[in-house]
Amino acid sequence: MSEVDKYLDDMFDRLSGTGEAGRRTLAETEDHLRMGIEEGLARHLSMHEAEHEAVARFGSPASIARQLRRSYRPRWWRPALTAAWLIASLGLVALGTSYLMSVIDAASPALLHSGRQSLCTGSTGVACAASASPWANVVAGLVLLLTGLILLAAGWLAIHYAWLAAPGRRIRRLTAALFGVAGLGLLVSPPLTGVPRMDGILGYQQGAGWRVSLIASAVAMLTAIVVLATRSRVQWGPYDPRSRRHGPSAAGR
Amino acid sequence: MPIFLGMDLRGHLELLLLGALHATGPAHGYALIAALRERSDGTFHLPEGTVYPALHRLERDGLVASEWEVGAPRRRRVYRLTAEGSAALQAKRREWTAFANGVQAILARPIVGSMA
Repeated sequence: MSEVDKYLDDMFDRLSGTGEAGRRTLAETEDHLRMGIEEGLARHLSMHEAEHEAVARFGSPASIARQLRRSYRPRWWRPALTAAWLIASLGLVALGTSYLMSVIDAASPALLHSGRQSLCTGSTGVACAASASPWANVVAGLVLLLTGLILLAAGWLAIHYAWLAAPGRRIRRLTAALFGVAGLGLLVSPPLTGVPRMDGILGYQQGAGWRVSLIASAVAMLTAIVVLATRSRVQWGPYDPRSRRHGPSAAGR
Repeated sequence: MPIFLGMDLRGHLELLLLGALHATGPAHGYALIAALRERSDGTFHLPEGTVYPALHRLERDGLVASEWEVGAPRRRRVYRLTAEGSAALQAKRREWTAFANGVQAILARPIVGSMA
């Protein structure tokens, strides 16, 4: 295998996942190297010398691949907007789900005998969902859940048409970390009822408040796991709706 | 010295490429590198591959446009300045001239007192 072929293979490996931008760079690199060889041969270099010189002049594949990836990195505000959208929409979905699950839990016969009356003592939010009028809370839960789902769908469309950046690994990790911390916080903090009783699991009585905390915590943890497990298809370059393709040449056509 | 030149070039590569494209007209990467090398009398001797990410950035910003050359024996991407690119080049050239004049005004003065 020639030195140029080895170089192109290395470049190909380093450009993996860059889509059309990478494919185009690889074609340009090959063209450039072949021209360099022709120039070297015209100066009476041997084939081996001409290849070596062309490759040496081109620079390290690692550095060029890194620069190319940097060139296509989204502008800072787009990832920030994506992070805000993802956290807000998933937060609404998680909150709505917690509300609905708490209502269901409160409606269960077991709960009627395990401290349902204490649910709203000195607290607000999800915990109260279980003890107030159930239908009002079902509506509140559904509104939160649907708003979150609509926001998620709108964001997905915005990503599809390249108005928003696709959530990259960092954004997904940040979102998952936030939900994970929230889930852990709900587990170790006082129950959402705000009525600590020092004779149960984690220092609190296993009453309705603890159950609400557990539900909210489980939903937050589950959200974190789903976000981490979801793979994002990274789109490179602006999206051209006419050709339905991403990449710099899509915009330039 | 090459390291210094390399550092210096990093912030100005796009401007140099716009200038080279303006001088040569539509050209592919290899020709642009050659133009940079020749016009600078070999001062700008940078790794040739770094030109392509810079050209992609310029295209992404709408300052250059490119297309595959039709009828060439090999697949070859040809770049050209856009109207926005020409305007940007003019503006950057003015900035650069003012900057270079300022640096020159300071550096051109003889250093006094260091050669006792």
